[in-house]
Amino acid sequence: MIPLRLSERMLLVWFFLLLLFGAYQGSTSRAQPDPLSLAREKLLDGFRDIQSAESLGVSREASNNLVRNLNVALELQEQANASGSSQLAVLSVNESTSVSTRALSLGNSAQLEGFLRSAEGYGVSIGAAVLTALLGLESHRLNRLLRRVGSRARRVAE
Amino acid sequence: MLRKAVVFLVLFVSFSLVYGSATYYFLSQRALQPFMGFAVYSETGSLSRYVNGSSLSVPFNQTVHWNLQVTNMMGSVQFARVVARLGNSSTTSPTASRPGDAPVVGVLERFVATGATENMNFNWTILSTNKVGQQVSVRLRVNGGSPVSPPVSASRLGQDFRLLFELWMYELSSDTFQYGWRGSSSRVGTWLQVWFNAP
Repeated sequence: MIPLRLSERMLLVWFFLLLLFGAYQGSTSRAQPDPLSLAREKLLDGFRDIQSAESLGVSREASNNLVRNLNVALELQEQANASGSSQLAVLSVNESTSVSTRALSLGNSAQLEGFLRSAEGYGVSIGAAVLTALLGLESHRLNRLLRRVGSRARRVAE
Repeated sequence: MLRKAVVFLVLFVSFSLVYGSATYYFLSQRALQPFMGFAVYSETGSLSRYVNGSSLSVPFNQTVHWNLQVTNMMGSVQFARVVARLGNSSTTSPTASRPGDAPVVGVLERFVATGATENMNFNWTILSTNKVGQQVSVRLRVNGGSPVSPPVSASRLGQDFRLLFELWMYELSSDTFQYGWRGSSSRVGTWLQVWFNAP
């Protein structure tokens, strides 16, 4: 191995630091879009999430509440666009994100409720089918029983 | 015994089919004819007297308050955009399939909940007019925004201007606003217009 001179060593260390700094800058600067375009993006995410929550069976009332809040986020975004205010854009992002979170949670609950409602409905219909089939099968016994009760009642009346 | 079991099975399957169908009917969502309602109301909340006075002439610096209503009967939440354009009597009107090409003077957006109606205020003012010969063009302000001077002029001393309103809907499949709304077989373009005269 050839021993490196001090200046060469310094150059290597400098090059290594530059690489590190470049990698760090790249990863942070690319991950942060400006608040105004982020606000628009989050609004559309909120819209998408409400639509999918509705398709999972969220109630009309819950969906209307979410839409009301998304309209607040839209107004904030419009004001941010008109004034160029990042603060308003951040408020809009927060509101849209909160709508998305609630829509996802409500969607999951609605999906579970829908599944339970279906299971309950079909369970009841199978139970009713068993009972009706048994009733049809044993109808002669039921007729005999009714006749017996009728004749006893007639005898008592006489 | 075997005969009894077979009869029970036949009865059970038959009743299961009947009750299962009834359950499916009650649990499934009702079919609906999707549509979007779109209306422009005057300051008095009626479909008339958009401009005070009988001449339809809008005075300078007097703000005209209109109310745009969008009703969502599409079965899911919608993102609606109303595009306002300024036209004259020779401007190409939008159709059921194609938007107009007159200059845009305002854009309003609103999320509309399922089965709900959203109101959008459309407040506009004629700030000034520019007369060149028999042609008159106007400078407008819409909803307190920056003044706009659309390249549209009307003949006969400022008569026969019109504001055209088009309804656009956001389509998640293309991530863009599309003119009209998605009907059961094709897109349906919806637009409205109100005529007025410049002073």
